[in-house]
Amino acid sequence: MTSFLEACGLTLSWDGGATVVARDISLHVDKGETVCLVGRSGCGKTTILHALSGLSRPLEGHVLLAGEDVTGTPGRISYMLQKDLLLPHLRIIDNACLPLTLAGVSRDEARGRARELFARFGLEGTEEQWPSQLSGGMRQRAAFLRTYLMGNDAVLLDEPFSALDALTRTELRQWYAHMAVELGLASVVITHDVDEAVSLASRVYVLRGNPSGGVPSSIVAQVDVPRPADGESFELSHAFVDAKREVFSHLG
Amino acid sequence: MIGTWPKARRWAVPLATLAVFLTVWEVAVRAGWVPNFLLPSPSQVVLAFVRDAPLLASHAVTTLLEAALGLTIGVVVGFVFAVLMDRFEVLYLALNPLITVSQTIPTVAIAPLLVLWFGYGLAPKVLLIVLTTFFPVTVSLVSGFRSVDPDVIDLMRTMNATDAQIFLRAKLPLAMEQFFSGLRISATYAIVGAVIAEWLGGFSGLGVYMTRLRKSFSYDSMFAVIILISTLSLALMKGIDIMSGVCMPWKRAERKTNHEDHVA
Repeated sequence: MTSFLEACGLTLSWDGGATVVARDISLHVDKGETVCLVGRSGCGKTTILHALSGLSRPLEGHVLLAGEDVTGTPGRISYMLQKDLLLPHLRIIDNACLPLTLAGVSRDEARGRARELFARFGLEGTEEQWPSQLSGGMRQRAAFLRTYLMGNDAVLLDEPFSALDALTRTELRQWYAHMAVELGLASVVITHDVDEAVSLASRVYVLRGNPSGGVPSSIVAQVDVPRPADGESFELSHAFVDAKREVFSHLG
Repeated sequence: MIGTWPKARRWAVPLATLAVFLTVWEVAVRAGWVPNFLLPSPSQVVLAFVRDAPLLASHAVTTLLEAALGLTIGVVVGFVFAVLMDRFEVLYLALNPLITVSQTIPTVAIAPLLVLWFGYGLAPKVLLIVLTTFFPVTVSLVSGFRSVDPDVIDLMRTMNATDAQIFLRAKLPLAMEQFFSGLRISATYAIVGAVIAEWLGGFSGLGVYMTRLRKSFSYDSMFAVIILISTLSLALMKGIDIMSGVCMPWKRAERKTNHEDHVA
């Protein structure tokens, strides 16, 4: 039984092969499921996501999407970078529509399709505003909507909540967990925040290594997080604390 | 904190300074501290301006025509250079130092050569303006293109954008602000460039008119021309500001947001 998105034995490098960043990275995620990749800053998390997205090619290994080899092919998996990267010269709705209009959908049709989703993404009323007029949390929601309109069921998220204040972060994280299940997305989230990883993911991959010091990173542990039916109280439960403790023990 | 001053006062201060300066000037000339044949008083300049208005207008038409033509060609050339230098790294490396060095050559030094090569007509004037105006446009656009966040380009690629789409939908609009700041500088060069080119020979234009006035020692009329040249340059800059506001409607929203943040 294969998963929807799979990475098999990826080896990644910086400077075209001079520095090996990560070795033997394998992970898998199904639709409606979120997994997290946790590691300290500088251990190569973004490089891994870059390779999964197809923007760069791994030295070794494959990325499989629904069984198809998509290694080094951008455009098949949605990728949300750390910054919201909304284009300042487009109104929020046109920013959200960007993947559609780039694919040749007419502006009116694209706007129509996006408009229906604004309420669902908590963005109603912001359609005609410029990005600079929105708060960080709202901008991030708009970036989520744009990512969703890329139309792929597999989504990569690079520290999507790190630039937000603590309250907005918790709120948006819960909202995303809910949306990801509802939309049936297979999400891979990278973060250095163990709390965030455990509260979002059903499985946490712990990445360890020091590539700039000559030690390529690798996945040292895979921690399954038992998710109770009601997510609300989970963050105060023993299961949550146990999972956190286990992730910390592997992070070293 | 000048930023917190009310708008009215921000206008009042330079206006008051100007009024004091003009008053001192007027008094100095009228009291005979400065010989009148060397320096006309502000009121004499105004009178000369009114008296010469039809003549000034006819010469200004020539100068404006040259400036407009030169600026348009200069902007197009500058734009093409910038796009090519951004697209092909080797062109950037090859041209960047040459373009910079070319700007250290004083305009007044090449102007006589251009007259020598192309005569007293329109061509040398327009060429001089092209040479001086393309540079700010090229430099500002190239730096605008190069300062686009590479993550934006990566993001576009994950949306299957083509190179042309990345350029038209992201890079070009993101470089707009820098382009307009370059264009603003080019606009002032355009008028000044036209006048300098006209000094060295021609049949009409504000520069030609100025050389005639100098020979006849009509200093009041000369000052009137200087004021007209400044006014034309300012008007052109204002026109470009208006154009940039129309082309970048999101900038107004950004300024407003910043202002609200400041007040809060």
